[in-house]
Amino acid sequence: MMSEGRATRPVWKGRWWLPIWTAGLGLALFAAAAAGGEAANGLIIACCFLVVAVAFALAERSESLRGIGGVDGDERFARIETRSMAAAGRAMAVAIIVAWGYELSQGDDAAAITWILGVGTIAYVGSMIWIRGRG
Amino acid sequence: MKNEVRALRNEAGLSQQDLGAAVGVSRQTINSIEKERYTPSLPLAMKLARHFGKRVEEVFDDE
Repeated sequence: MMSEGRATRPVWKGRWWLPIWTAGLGLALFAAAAAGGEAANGLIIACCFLVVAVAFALAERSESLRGIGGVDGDERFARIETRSMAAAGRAMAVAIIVAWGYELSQGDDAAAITWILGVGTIAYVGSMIWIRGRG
Repeated sequence: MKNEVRALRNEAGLSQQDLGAAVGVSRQTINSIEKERYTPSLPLAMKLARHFGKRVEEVFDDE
């Protein structure tokens, strides 16, 4: 039985979710780099992620950082987040298409980039159909 | 969107933090609404209007 008056909040809305997720991602990338024989590079990447994780953990007074973490976000921040994600998506799409063209011009098959582009396109079209269907 | 939120809030003696807590948004969101940089959703506009005992069109003006 839940205690009376206790606020329930999804795990991903908790204060510590984003710092832990960021640090975990850094460690996962370190493990991947180490498995590929690039432990030194992996360590640098992991350190960068850990610095960002600490910044998220200490960012109590920053609305932007709290919003990114989903802590105490409201409708205005949800709109900011949606627009930011859209801008990031456009930037990523341009970067991937440019990289795809570059790889092809160098005589490479660009298989990895083709996969990323395919997944992105399917995700975009699928999301649009799904969201449109929900009104 | 033009609005009377700041005037009504001052009249009620509330801080932006108080009003935000009362309607479930952040102090920064109340500030953005008052500065007419952010147009609230219809549910939030209705909450704000109800909080001051007014109708939505008495608080917000889209002209």
